[in-house]
Amino acid sequence: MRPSHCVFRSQSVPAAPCSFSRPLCWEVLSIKQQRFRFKLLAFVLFGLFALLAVYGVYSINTYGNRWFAYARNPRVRAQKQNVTAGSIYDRNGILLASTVDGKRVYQPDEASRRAVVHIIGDSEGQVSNGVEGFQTAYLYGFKSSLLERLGYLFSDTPRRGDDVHLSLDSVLCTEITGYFAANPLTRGKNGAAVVLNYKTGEVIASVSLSAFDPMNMGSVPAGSEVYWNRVTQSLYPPGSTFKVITTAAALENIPNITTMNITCNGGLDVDGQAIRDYGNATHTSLTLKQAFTKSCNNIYALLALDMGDATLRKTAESFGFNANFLFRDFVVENSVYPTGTRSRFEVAMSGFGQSSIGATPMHLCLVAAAIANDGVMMEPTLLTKTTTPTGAIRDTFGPKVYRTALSPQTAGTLQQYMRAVVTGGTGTRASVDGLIICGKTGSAESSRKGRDVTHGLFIGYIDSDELPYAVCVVVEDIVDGEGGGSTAAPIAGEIFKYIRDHKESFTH
Amino acid sequence: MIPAKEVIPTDAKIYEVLSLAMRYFFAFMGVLIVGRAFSWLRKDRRLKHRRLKQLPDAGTIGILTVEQGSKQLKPGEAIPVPHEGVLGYLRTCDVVVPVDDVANAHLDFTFVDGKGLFIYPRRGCEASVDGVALTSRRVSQQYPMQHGSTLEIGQAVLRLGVFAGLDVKEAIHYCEMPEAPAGEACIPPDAPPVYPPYPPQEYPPYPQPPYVQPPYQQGSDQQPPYRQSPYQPLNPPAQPPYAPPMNEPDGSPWQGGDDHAY
Amino acid sequence: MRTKDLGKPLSRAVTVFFCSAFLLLFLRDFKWQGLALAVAVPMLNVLTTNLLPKLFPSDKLLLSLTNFLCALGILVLYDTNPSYAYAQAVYYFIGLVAMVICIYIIRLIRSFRFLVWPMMLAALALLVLPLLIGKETFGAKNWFYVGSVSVQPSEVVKLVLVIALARFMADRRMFPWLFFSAGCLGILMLQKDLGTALLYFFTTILLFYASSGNLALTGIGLAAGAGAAVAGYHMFAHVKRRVAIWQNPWSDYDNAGYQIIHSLMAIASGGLFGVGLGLGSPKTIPVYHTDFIFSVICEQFGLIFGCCVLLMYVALIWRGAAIAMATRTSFHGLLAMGITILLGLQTFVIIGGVLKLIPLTGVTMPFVSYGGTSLVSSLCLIGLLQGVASLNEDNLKEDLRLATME
Repeated sequence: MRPSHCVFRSQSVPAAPCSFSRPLCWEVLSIKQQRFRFKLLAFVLFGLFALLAVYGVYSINTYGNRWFAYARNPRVRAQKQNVTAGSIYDRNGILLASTVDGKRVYQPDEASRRAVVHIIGDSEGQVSNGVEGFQTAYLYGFKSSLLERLGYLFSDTPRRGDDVHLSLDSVLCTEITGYFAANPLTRGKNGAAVVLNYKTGEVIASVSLSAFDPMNMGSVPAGSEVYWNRVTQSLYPPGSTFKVITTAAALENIPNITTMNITCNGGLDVDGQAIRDYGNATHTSLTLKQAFTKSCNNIYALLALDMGDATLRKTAESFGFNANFLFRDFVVENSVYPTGTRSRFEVAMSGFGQSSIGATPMHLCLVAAAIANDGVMMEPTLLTKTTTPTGAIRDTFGPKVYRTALSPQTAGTLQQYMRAVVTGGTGTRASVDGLIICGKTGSAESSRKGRDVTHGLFIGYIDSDELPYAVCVVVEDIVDGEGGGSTAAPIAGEIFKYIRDHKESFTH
Repeated sequence: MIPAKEVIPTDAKIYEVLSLAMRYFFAFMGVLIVGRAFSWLRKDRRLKHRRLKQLPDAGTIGILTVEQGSKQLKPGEAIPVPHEGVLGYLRTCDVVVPVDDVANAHLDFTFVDGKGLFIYPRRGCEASVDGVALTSRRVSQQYPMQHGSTLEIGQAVLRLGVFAGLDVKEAIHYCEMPEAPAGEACIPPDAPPVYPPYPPQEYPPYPQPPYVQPPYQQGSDQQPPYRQSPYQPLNPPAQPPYAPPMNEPDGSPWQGGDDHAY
Repeated sequence: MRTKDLGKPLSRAVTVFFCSAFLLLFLRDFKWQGLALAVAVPMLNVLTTNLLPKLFPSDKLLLSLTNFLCALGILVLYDTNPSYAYAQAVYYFIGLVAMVICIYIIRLIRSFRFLVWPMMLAALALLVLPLLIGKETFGAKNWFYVGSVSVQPSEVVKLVLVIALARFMADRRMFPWLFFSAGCLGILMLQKDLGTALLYFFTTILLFYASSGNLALTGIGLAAGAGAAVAGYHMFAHVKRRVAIWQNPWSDYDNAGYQIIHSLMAIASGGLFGVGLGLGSPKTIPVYHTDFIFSVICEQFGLIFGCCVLLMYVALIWRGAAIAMATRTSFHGLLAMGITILLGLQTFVIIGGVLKLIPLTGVTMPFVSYGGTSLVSSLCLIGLLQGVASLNEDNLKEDLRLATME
C-alpha cells in the first residue's frame, strides 16, 4: 500500500502497542472507534464556534448601542470633526440643543438649561448617557443612507446629523426645579423627579438636582457629583415605597390577607434587634389596607418574616429588581435586592425597603406605573421620532411592554390601597382637586459619608385614562422629623397640578 | 468642540462614499466565498463516498480466512483486515473472531509494507504464527505474518491473504510471460473498467521497491508472490461495477501455493 | 478527486474579493503597493492552488482556505499599517515554502519513531531560551530576538508537540508525551504565557481522548487542569487581573479594561456591514495587528463578514477532521486531528477573548494575525496536514490501481 517514493521506509518493525510489560500505556478495544471520536471532537469544535457566533451576535445585538455610544469611542469623536450635530426638540417643539456656527447651543434661559441638562447631556460627555451622548448614532449622522452621502458629495454644505424629537416637556422640568425651590423643606436639597406615561412609557419629565449649566461648565470640575443623573444612576433605598412590593407579595402569597387583622404593638424584636415605627408610633390591630395607609413598619416586618426572603425576592424580581435593564433610550442602573442568605433582621427590614435594597427613581416610577397600568410595566422611552436634515422622518418609535410585574387583580387591590394613602394616609399632600391621585410615601434611611441621612420619597400616579402619568420624587437628606409625605408628596402634587392645568399638551 | 468645517478634501469624500458602497459588496462576497467553500466541501465529500463505494477494499490490507472456527465463524469465511487494530471476541474490535478461547481483545496487529502483519498478543493471551508461539515482543517482531501464514489463537486457525503492499504490476508481468505454464494464466487483463469521476491514471512508473521478492520459480518452495486477492465479501450484495467475474475455486487460475481454501 | 471544476468558483470569488479590496485601498492613497498587492495576492492563491497539486496530490480545498485567511490578514494589515502588510507578505511566502517542506517531510519520513526524540529535546531547549535571553512584553516572557527578527518558540514547538503526541499516542505509550507536555506547560507557565499553555493543555487532553477513548483519565486530566487553573488564579496576580477585567472591563476603562473596551467598541461600531474598508478608526484598537485583528475585521467589514471568517475556520476544521478520518495509520490520523484541534482551539481562544466570551489570552489568530513565527508555524501545521492528506490520496490511488489491475 506504500507508494514507493517513500525513501525512509519504516526503519523498524512497529513498537508493540501496550503489551509485553511496557510500563504505563493503555489498551484500546479497537482502532476503528478512533474515527468516531475524531468526528465527535470535530463536532465539539463546531459547537465552540457556534457558541462564538451566537454570543457575538447576541452581545452586539443587546449591548452594541451602548458600546458604540460610549463616550470614549474614538469613531464618534472623529465624526464630530466632520459632521454638524443635529438638533434636539422636546414634545412641544422647543429647541433644546442645536449647533450654531460649529458650537453646541442649548436653551437661552439658564434655569431651563439646568433643568434638562442631565437628560439631554452636554457636548463634552461629562454626563454619561444623556441624549447628546447616547444618541450619537442619530445626532452625528451615522444612520444616514448611502444616497444622502452621495448628495453631500456634490454639495458644499457640511454634513449634518439627524434631529431627535423627545417626549420630554422641558417646561415641566423647569417647573419641577421651581417646586423644589418653593418649599423651604426641599429648597437647596439634592433630589430627583421623573414623570412618565404609564400606558406608553414615554418619559415627560426627568430632573436631577443639583444641576449645572451646560454652557458654562468651566466652574465645575470633571467627575463632580453634579454630573450624576440621579434619576437613572443613583440607587436609593426605596424605604416605605417598597411596601408596595411587599403588599403585592402578601396579596399573592398569603391567603385571606385582606380580611385579616394584624396586631402592631409598637415595636418588634427580631434576633435581639429592635424595629421601631416611624416616630415610634403605636398602632393597634390593623388590616393590611390600614397598615399600608399608615405605613406601619412593624406589620411589614412581620409580613416579610412570614413570607420569607425567597418569596419577597421573587416578587421584587418580577418588578424588575436584579434584572439587567436594557432599555432602548435609557441606561438605568440595575436595582438590587440582595441575594444569598440573610439574617432574620435583614429580612424583616426588607419588608419596608431597608437593608441593602436599592432602586433608581426611574425604576421606582416604573413600579408605580406597573401598578397603575394593571400590572404591565412599559419600557420607558424618550425618543418619539428622528428626522433627517431635510425634514423627512428617519425612524419613529412606539411603546413596548417591558414585563408583566403582577396580576391585574393584585394591581387593582394595590390601586385602592394607594388611593387610600392619598385620601386619608401619609400622602394627603399629593392630592389634587379634580384628579384621582394614588401614591405611596416613603422615608428611607441610608448613610452617606459616615452620616445617617433620611431621604423623602413619593411614588404615585393619576388614575385617569386621559392623563395616565406616574411620578416618582426623591428628596435627599431631609430634615429630621420630616418624611416623604411632607417633602416629596407636595412636589408630586404640584406636578399633578401642572399636568391637570396643561391637559391639552399631555393628552395628545 | 471643533468647528465642523469642510476640512475633508473632495477625493477623500469620494473615497468615503465608494467605500461605504463597497461594504455591501464585501459582505456579499464574504457570504459567497463561504457558500462556495462549503459547497465544495459537500461535493467533495459526495465524490469521496462514491469512490469509496466502488472500492470496498479500501483501507484493508487483506483477509483472514477461517480454517478452523466456530458456529458463528464457519471455516471458509473471510474477515477483512485493516492496517492496524485489535483482534478479539468482542463485536467492537476491528477484527472480530467469535471463537472459543479468544479473549475479548486478544491481540494488536500492525501492518508494515514489505514486512508483513505484526502480531502482538495482549497480556495473558496466546497466539502463534505458523506454529511459532509469540511469547515476547522480540519474537513478535521476528515472525510477522506473511501472505499465507496461519495464525492460531484459541481454537481458531486463520490464514492471512494479503493484497496490499506489493507491486502487482510485477505479478502481472510475470503472468503474461509466454513461458508461463498453462493454467497460470492471469485474470484477463483486458477490459479494465472505467471510472467516470476518476482521473486517468498517470502515475510515474514505480521504481523497483527494495522489498520485492525474487521472481517466483515454479516448483521451488518459495512463497509465491502476492496476488490480487480473490477476496469475496460474505454474501456479496451486488457485484461491484468493476469486478470481473470471479473464478470459482475449481477454476481458479491460482495453482501455486497452498491456499486451497479459496 | 479534486477536479478543477470544483475549486474554480471559490477561487474566482476569492480573486474578485481581494482584487476589489486592494484596488479600493489603492484609491485611498494612490500608492503603487496597493496595485501590486491587488495583483500579487490573488495570483499567489491561483498559483499555489494550481502548482502544488502538480507536485503531489495535495488538498486544494485546504490550500484555498488557508490562502484566503492569509490574504485576509495581509489585506487588513495593509488597511491599518502597510509596513506590517509587506512584512506579512514576505512571511506568507516563506510560510508557503515551509509548508511545501513540511509536506515532503510527512511524505518522506514515515514514522518519526526515532526522529521524535531529538525533536522533543530541541523543542524543550528552544522553549527555555526566552526565559534566559528573552524580554518581557505584555506580562509574558515568551519571545527573543535573533538579530532583528523576533522569534516566539512556543509557536515552533507546536509542530513538535503535535508530532510527538501523535507518535506516542499511536503507540499507546503514556510516559514520553506526558513528560513532554508537562515540561512544555511548566516552561510556558514560567513564561506566564497562559494562552499558549491553555492551548497545549487542551490539545493534549483532547487528543488523548481521541486516541484512547478513556473518559475517566480524560476527566482526571481536565480536573487536574481546572485545579491548576484555580491554583494559578490564586497564585498569580496577573491571572486574577485578567479574570477581573473579563468580568467587568468597564470598571477600569482607562487602564486594565482599555484593550477589551476598545475591541468591543470597534465591533459595535462596525454593525452588520462594517464602517467601510479604509474608514473608521481601527488603529485606536490596542494591538490591532495581532491579538485584536478580529475586531478590526469586524469593524471594517461588519458582523456578517466576521461570521463568514468564523465559518471559514469551521470549514478548515471540517476538512482537517475529514483528513484525519481518512487516514489508514493511527499516527497520521492523530497527527491530522491534533493539528485540527490545535488550530481550532487557538482560533476559539483568541476570538472568544476579543468578544469577551472568555478571558483574553495573548495568542494569535492563526493565519490572519501579524507575526512571522506565528504565520510560518501555522502554515507548517497546514503543511503537515497536507502531507497526511496527500498520503491518503496516494493510498486511495493505490487501492484503485490494485482494483483495476484485476
